[in-house]
Amino acid sequence: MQYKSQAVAKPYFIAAIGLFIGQILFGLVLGLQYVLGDFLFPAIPFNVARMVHTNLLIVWLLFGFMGAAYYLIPEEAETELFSPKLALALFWIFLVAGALTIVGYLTVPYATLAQLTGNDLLATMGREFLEQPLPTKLGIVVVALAFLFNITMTVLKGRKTSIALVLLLGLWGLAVFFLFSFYNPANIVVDKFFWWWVVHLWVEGVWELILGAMLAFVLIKVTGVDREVIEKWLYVIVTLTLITGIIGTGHHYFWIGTPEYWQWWGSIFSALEPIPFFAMTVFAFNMVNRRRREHPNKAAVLWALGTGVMAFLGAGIWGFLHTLAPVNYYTHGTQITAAHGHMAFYGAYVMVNLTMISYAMPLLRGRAANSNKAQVFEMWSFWLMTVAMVFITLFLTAAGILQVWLQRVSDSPVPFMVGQDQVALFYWMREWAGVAFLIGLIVYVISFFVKGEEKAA
Amino acid sequence: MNEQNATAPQRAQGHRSDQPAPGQDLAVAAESLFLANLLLVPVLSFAVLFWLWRKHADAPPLARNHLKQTCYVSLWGGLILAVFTAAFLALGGLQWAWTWVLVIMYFTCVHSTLVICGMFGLARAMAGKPFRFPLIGPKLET
Repeated sequence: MQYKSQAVAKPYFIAAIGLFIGQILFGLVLGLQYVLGDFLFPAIPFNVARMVHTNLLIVWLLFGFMGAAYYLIPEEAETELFSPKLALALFWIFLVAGALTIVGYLTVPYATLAQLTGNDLLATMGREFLEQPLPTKLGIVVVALAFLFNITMTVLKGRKTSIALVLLLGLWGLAVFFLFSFYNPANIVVDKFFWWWVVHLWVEGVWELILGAMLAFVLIKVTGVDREVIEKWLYVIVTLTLITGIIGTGHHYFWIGTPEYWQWWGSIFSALEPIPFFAMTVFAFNMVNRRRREHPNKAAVLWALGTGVMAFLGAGIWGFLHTLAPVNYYTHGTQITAAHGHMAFYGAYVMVNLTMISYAMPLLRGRAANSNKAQVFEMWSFWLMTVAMVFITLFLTAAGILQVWLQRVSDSPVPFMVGQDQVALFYWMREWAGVAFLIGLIVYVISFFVKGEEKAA
Repeated sequence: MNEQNATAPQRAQGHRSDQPAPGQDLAVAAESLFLANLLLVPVLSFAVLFWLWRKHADAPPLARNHLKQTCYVSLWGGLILAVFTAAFLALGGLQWAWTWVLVIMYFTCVHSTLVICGMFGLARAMAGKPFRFPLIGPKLET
């Protein structure tokens, strides 16, 4: 660790991993509710479990991004963080607000929660992924702005590198697009139109910039390849991301009541969306092939390479699978979407956060890399979680194809719930793959406590 | 410096200098055409790849390695994709849900695997290093 203030990243990473565990536990609950409909009902209804699962994902990824920024920015800017105290205060505010929100979801009926939290003053709740009560949303804005102030001031007083600027662009974009969560027009078409400005322009827009910057930072450190080479790749990735991702939003506008031209724009541009992920994978492997040093942290290198491959598969291939309008006409809203969502989030954003944590945590704990034994545990967790996610995706894809046939292609289409019964076998297999994923996550957590001969920082 | 003149560690580890290795451009072209055959312009890309392979019989070892690998794997990969897909369709029929579950899953998985391998090959070519496709790639010449 080169700068003392980088230490503020540590609690962010620890909280991220804690919330990740919560997300997976609720994922397993949900998986069981798919096949045992009354499981944990009425204590945790399906809609609540789903909300907790997805909201925990978003929150822990945000914790990861913030931790990554607090670690990365001082090193890139070659100066201490503008205000480490502010960073720590924001950590506690965000953690407490997030925890209270989850407790609210689990203990108060959602409609009551809306009443209690002032949703009648400014109605923002009740929309997928944006279910947070108004005070939580306002809290997110305050935390995000204060966080951006802190890291922007750090960059302004220090060295300005491409990586830092791309990261800032991504993080500012994240904050700006979140403001659309406060816009909730009565017209459901307009509502959905702008809802995607948060959801799509986050994950297929500005988050990709954050991903690119984090990956580039780690690759510079672990490969020793010249910064100029890596920055050129980063420019290409950023350009491709923005060109394809922004108009690619149109793939969400096929059937919501928007003009038909979106079927063309959405199909063409989103068909190009795998290209930045393609570039990212070639970039990561090319840098490792051209490495000028053997970094002792092999686990971090593995996570970095895995990010490229899994992001390309999940976001690129599985996204393309159902993105063309004539295909999406049949597949829209089926388990094929769920398959894509799982692998894309894992491959792109979970893995890049774990890459960063894998690289930074040993340094934050005073060593260049963990012991070989600890790294073996971590690499086992990589393979367990990654292979489990591949199977989760394959089982959901199979369920989705069958679902499409049964409900939308067959000469005698069946109702939704009848179809669900017929794909239950795949849901069971998905659940077992989910258990394997949890085991991988447990091994990952254990790897932090495995002792052995560590490499000095 | 060609492969024959390289030191043993250089041969084992591939090219490391900032100068392109001999035959690197051709190696990159081979891997790019392999990927284009899978993703953009099937058949035509392979035709160009095959022509390059035949035309550059005495190209540097790096280029020959990538040309040979991509040509073989394009042929085998195409065969594996087409034969099994056709077999599933013929055996299951078009009107059976499970045919489509199997065909789409099979095609997506095998096609994606070939693409990912091509990306690994491209990254190796760009780094001036030889590459062998797993399982169906011909053995590397020593």
